[in-house]
Amino acid sequence: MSMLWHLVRYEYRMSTRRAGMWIVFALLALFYFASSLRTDADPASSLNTAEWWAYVGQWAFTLNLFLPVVGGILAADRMQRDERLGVIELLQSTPLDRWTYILGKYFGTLFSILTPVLALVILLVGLLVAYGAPPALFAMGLGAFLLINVPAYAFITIFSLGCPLIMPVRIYQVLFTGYWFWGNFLNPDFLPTLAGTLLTPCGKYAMNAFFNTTVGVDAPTYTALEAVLNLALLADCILLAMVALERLLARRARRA
Amino acid sequence: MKKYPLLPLRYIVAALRPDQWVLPGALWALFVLIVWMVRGDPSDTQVVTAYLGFVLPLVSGILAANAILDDRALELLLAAPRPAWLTLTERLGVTVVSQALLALAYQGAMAFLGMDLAFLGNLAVRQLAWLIPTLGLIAVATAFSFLLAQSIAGALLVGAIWIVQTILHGWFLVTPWRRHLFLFLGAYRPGHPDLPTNQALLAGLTLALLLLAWALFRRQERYL
Repeated sequence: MSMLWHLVRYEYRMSTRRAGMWIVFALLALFYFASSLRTDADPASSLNTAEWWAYVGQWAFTLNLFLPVVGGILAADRMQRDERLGVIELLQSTPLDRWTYILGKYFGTLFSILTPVLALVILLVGLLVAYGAPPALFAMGLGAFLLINVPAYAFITIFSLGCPLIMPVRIYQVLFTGYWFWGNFLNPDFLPTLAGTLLTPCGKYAMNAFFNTTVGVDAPTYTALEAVLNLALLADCILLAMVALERLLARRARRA
Repeated sequence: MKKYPLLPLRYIVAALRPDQWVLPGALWALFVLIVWMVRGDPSDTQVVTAYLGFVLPLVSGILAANAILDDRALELLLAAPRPAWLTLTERLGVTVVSQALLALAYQGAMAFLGMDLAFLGNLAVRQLAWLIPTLGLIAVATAFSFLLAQSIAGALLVGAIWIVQTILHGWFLVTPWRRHLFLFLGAYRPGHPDLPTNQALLAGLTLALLLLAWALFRRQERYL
């Protein structure tokens, strides 16, 4: 367990030291605040608790429009670079078992790409509270972060770690960027897509079912059961992808 | 003026990694297939525009981000007595030329399938619809990669710009100053009266970013 913790911590520190991550997240944060933050004169106290709950849910979903693309691209080289730099052989010569390695990489990378998102949520909620929103909004914001943002990043992180091991990183970067739009926001009437199915990781199920809000005029509504099924299915996909990754690394270790 | 030897074309082609051809070619084939399946439907022109106006620039930007700094022989490349502008031209030129060939081949395929592309403008204007965003994203990717000395930084910014402008296209189209910064105006609104200004402004920004990339790449010790 201590080895896992050290691996998570080391991976987290390596990942968060990249200036590009903070710069791009900061640019997108500026964009978010400039384009959609409530700074009008309407008193924040005019919203009741249910309306604030819906508002933070909608905002958390809005963060899932673009930021996961940045997170997925950032995570794409975290495991692949170990093979590219030759570090993987060094790690295999240590008493580090494969599952500890995979989980350490996964959680270290996941926490690192969630950090700027959490910072953005806290900043947003802090600004709203400064404008008169109830302090309970911090708890609501955290709830929205856990139910809407975290599942999306948890889903994309495992695929961003594993897929670049079987294809060049830049191919994955292109395919992933296209997938995020195609698999979450493309109108099914335009092209066949996973958008709107239970395999959608962008958080629209949780937003509608748990936060009682939607984005768009004719957006479909979902029940709490469907939202739970959506989260369970995403968790299953994450576990399956982890097992597949472990098997892939085991096969490569045998061939080495 | 000192003359520098150009790399033979066969060397450039041989030095290319397969993924620089495989993915763009596969996407080209996929969209030709999709257009063949949906031709005659109301959405067929949207599919045509999707490849030329959106997919092609995204692929170009990501490939450009990885064109130089991801070279395994980077130290060797930088040790050669060749000016930065020549290396940039050769590497980015390969991406531009390959994507241009695919864009022209795609238009040829559309003509073969009987799809009328006149809605994108005449032949010259139609090329600007994919060329401007393609060159723009290539410039962004290259400049940002050199700025942070990491190819992933350029890929990050290209992905972020692409997804923001694609999903929020309505927001960009609403006000004039946002329209002028909208990469995909030629695809979304061909024939829009602001299109010439938009393309001129984007071309100017592209040139500025390429100049920045050249200035950064001259400081080659940053990338070793």
